[in-house]
Amino acid sequence: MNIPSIRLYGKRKAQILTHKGICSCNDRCVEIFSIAGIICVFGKQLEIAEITDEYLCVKGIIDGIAYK
Amino acid sequence: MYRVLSYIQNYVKIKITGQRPQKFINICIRRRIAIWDLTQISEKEFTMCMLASEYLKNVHSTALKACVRVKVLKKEGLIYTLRRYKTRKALMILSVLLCGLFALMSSLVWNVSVEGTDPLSVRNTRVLASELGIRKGMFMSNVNSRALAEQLLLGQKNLCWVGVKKKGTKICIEIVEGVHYEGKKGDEISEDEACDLAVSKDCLLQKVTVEQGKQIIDTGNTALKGQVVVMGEGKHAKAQIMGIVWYKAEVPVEKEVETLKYTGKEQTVKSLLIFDFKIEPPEWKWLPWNWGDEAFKSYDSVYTEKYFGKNVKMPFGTSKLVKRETVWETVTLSEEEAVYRAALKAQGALDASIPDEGQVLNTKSSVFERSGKQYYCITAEVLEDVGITVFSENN
Repeated sequence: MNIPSIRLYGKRKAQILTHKGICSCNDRCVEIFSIAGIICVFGKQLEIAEITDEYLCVKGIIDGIAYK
Repeated sequence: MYRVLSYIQNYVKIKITGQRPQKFINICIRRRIAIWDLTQISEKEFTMCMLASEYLKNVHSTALKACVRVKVLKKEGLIYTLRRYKTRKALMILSVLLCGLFALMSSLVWNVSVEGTDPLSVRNTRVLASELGIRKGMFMSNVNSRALAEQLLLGQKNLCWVGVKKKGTKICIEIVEGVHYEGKKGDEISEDEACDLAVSKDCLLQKVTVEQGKQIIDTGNTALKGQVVVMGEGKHAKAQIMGIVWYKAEVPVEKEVETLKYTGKEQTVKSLLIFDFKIEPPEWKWLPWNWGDEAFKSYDSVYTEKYFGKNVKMPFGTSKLVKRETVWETVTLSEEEAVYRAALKAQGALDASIPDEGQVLNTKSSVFERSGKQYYCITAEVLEDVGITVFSENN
């Protein structure tokens, strides 16, 4: 299944499984390609802690997650 | 864990600069290159970490494809660290020695603990284990837990279970005491053979409970040592013979006795303990701490051992031997003191002769004179099992 799944660990960590790459990235917004569209993670002091071909981990103060 | 693995595998921290740095990251992901600690410095600049092997293999072509410039900021990892310290030979040798020492120390037995409810069994197990070669400082690989447990169990009849566990550098022996039934004293006669029951001592028969056989001496009569009380009549006689036995102890009352007295002189010998090995200071006379020390002719000593550590016992410690000089002195006692001393001696001798399972019914003591010398005499009536198996006279 290529449907993206998102796990949110409080306000500090978000894990996105089955992504398709990064669209854009800065400390306020991280945009991630997925089969369902672009996933936007909003917040402050955001950074990509780990990234592999299937898994992506965003750390920082997360304010919201939305599809673009 | 992830950090440690990446350190062992070596990694590089790189900075990428270009119009679309995201493209570089996406190509890396598609090529299954793991990236971590990704940080954006500016819109066109990123820093990230990746494995050194993947950097060497893939990054050049990926950078060309994504039109970015790559700059290595930092090289981290075991090989890079070793390369950095290559010229410092003393440090390298010391590190190798320390690693070797660490490996050696972790493969040795630091402590042997015995757990059980009965202190005597715990002590016996400790002694037996040390006789079997289990001691501090031996290699952990030389300890066979199962064989050791079997040997400890076979060596002690009062135990019903022994467990041996290796916990890091510690050997934990757990013992469970059981009830041990001893066979009747006397000849080793099997259950199938015909036998009689006799008494092992001169006694007054108090109670005879016959299970198999025929009682030939009535209760209340005296039986002499070796006399048959229960006859098997061609079968294996079974009975409990309880008899009253008299024990006697006689000790001369001495008014002049030799006692040990301390002179007040002391010598202390401190040693270093490493595992079970003791390193004693040399006894050379010219050494400052040995000046004026003369060997005592007669002394008593107190020996103490102290290992470092409270919760975890370290294999290093110190031992202290305090020698106190003694001399024999003749002391004249008063009559009361002399009798009291003789009473203590006689009581000790009597206790030693009475068997552990015997029940003391009555004791009598008296002081009498014989050929001009005073004696303290104590007698005890003891109820005990006096039965022993003997071969039938008909056989």
